[in-house]
Amino acid sequence: MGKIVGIVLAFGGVAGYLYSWIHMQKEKEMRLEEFIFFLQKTIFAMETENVKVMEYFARYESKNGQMCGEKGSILEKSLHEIAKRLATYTYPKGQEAWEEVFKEEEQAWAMDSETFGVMLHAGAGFFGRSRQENICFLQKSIDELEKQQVKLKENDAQQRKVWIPVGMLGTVMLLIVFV
Amino acid sequence: MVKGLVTVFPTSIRPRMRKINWDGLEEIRVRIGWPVELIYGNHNEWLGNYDSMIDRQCLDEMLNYITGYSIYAMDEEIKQGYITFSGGHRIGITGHATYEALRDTKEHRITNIIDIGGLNIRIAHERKGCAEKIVPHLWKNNSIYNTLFFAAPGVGKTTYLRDTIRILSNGEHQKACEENSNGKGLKICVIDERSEIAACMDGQAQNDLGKRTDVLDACPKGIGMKMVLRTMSPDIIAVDEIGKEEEFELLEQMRCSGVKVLGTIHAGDMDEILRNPMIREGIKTGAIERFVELIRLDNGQRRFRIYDGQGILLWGK
Repeated sequence: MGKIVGIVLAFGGVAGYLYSWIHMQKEKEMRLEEFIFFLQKTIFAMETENVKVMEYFARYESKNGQMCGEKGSILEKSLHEIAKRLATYTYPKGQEAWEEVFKEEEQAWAMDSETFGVMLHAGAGFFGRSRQENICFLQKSIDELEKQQVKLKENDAQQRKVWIPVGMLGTVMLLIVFV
Repeated sequence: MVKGLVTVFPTSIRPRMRKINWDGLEEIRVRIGWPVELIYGNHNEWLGNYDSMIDRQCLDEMLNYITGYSIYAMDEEIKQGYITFSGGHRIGITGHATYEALRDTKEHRITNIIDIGGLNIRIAHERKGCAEKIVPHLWKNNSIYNTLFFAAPGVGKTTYLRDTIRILSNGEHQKACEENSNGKGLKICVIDERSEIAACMDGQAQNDLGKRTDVLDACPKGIGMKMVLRTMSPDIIAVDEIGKEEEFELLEQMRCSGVKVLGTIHAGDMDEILRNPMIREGIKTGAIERFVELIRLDNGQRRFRIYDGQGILLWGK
């Protein structure tokens, strides 16, 4: 009986760990997807209306947060925080507030350094002098992030291919050795 | 409200700006290579000395604050050479203008102002009651004469227009003009092309224009006047800075519709007014019946004169 409980616990532990890892990867993908979608929406907004950055950031509501049952996504929290800081009118350049908030939230974003670097610099696309300049910059950021997104998905699929069988087989081996 | 303007200045000079005398301040001029200049009714001052000169970085910082970190969203305003700031303060812009020639005409159109080198912050003043003595002279058969306020720039045409609107809208004028009146006001529509009269923020007027006033904000006067005439059944349409031929033609249309017009126009004196062919035409048709001239005295106080449509002085000296 004890052996059966041990086997179930070992398999459950490994399966749980693998599940949480997959979930984390999925969340990372969703965060990136939300960020890209936000940039695309911004381009559309800049082309069709006179978007004021502070109001635009403060108004942002995440759909991802609602789907996950959370209060709001990291992007939503970050944008609201940037809007709050800009409203103090103490940042000579808007980009400074963007970078400051994103750096503070770097761990929560949990992106690789390359992707996070693009996100950090994407802020310049909101504070440029002309609409065209902003749109160009945002489009470039989107292109870069989409490349990163593909890489992330490929990497994720590869890792899954390796770690799920390895995890399960490893558990079986351990059970054979110890039981 | 005026002290809120401190936030448009670079953080480095804000402590000094907080200490200045805001009473009677009419304009603040900011130019690269010079300290900030403060212009009062009867004198001017410099903020600091050569140690506190404005540089390119300072001006860029100011533009960020003025536009809410969205310079690109203000391109239409910048093309026209001004930005209206919260509270109705108008900020004039100078710099390097880029332009393009309009097809089939000899005219040019400004496409942008780059390398912005100077700002003129004209402080909006809401002086309630300043037009109390003017309104009785404009009153005629439960309405008003079609009236234009005129003065040189910076004398206070918009301030007086704003207060006239408030008085007529609230009905305060009737108490002054007619005995035993219940003080019923008039329906007034304001076409606020430059957002200076009402200073609307999120659709709400920040300046008091009275309880029967509707504002069409940021709308070209020509389009706006036609629009409100059809849809808002106004007693009076109020506009700032009439100048285009099309706008004078609309005055005639207003006259035919029985709607009265209150407006302002740039002019130094009555002779200048009467030399303007578009105004002469308006006088001939009865579209303009009264002129109010505003004069700034050396001590910064204002005086007014009222003329009829022929340029004959009716009140004042």
